[in-house]
Amino acid sequence: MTVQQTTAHGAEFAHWLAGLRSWAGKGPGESTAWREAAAQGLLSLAVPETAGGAGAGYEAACLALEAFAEESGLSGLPFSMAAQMWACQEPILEFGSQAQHSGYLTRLTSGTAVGAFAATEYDSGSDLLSLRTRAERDGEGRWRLDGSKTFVTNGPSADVFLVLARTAEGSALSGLTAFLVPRGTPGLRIGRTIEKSGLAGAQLGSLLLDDCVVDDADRLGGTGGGFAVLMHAMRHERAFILAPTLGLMARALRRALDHTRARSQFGQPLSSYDTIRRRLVRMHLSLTSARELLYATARAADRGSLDHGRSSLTKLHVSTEFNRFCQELPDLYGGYALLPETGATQLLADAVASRYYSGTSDMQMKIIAEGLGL
Amino acid sequence: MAEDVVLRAVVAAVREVAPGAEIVDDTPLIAHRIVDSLSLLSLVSLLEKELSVTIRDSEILPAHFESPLAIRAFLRTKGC
Repeated sequence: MTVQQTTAHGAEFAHWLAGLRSWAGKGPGESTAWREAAAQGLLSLAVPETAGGAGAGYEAACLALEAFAEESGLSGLPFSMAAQMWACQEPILEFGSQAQHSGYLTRLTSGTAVGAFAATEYDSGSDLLSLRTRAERDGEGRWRLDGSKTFVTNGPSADVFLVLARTAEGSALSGLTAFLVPRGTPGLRIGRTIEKSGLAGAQLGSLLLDDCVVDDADRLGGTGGGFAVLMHAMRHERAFILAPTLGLMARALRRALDHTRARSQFGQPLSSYDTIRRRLVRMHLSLTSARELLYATARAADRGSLDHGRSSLTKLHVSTEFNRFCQELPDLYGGYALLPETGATQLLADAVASRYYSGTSDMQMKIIAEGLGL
Repeated sequence: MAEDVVLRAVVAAVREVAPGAEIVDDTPLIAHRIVDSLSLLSLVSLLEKELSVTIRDSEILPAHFESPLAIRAFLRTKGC
């Protein structure tokens, strides 16, 4: 099934979303789910029709990511797909040439290629503008990249990497340039998969660029325009990367409600105790407020109005509420929270991670404070 | 010559995002690091709000933000 010429509020999209939910609820295997979800059109929802996408918009794309996570119970895979959508596809859409659209974007949205955004370095986490990877023109007009990247989502399996490198001294505002580097490019080495305690199923990796030669045609945007590419990626990623967590929270809340109704202590169901009910209400409040803000932001983006302050506010709020939600969840299960089948501690690890990827909560506050004129 | 109200608005916006800095029409904002990555984003948002203009990420180029005069010239291309 595909989705074309629709919006998040149309009957056609509702029908498509029901199909996606049905498929995701059957527990697709992680090895094939990426391609299957892409085949249904998930990755192309926010891409305009003029660029070969469904043109359904950001709200529709977030609804799909939420539904996929909620029905499948997978956390890492929807996160990885979202990372590609917001930090790879969006910059290629905005800055890419026609050849880059047909060469990369089409393959990414169809699921025949996987994309990764490679900006973070070992010594530059939040301080992305201090990155050390360099790119220099050689005598034949090609670029030679040297440096390393880490915490690259999709890194171990990606077919194309959006790499940020320094091309001039001085202010990073004018000294960064973005490049599209295909897997297999001479000098590009894919590092080991990084082990982590959350986001099961998402692959994190590192890259080594050792005299990696890239054609000028694979430069994304202008020379010195890397800051704009970075900001474009972050503006969308911060706004929408947490869409799948809404589905994970909804799933966890539903299961917690079932558990507290079914389990009795001292002759009464857990759900009859005020301490339990208050926790469930607080979780419901967290999910509701997170969902309201994220979709208000998505609708604003669909109207062409998404500024960086709004993106940071959305990232900060949704990750904060996700953490509040997960602080309550284990207490509904007591000692059973430590058993994998409740998913409580895994979700807590995901919540902790959400405070750090796409810019830490402290960074979001800094951006928001700047916007307030502080 | 009539006062350039857009240029005055640009200078006021820069002063707001870079409080304490001495800002005149040709102050080098990036070379002198008066505007950094965070304050540039605030400046873009402020200009969009004050001048009812939309600035795309692909237009956030150093050449467009080198100085208040450069910003003014860039905004002129957008009809301001």
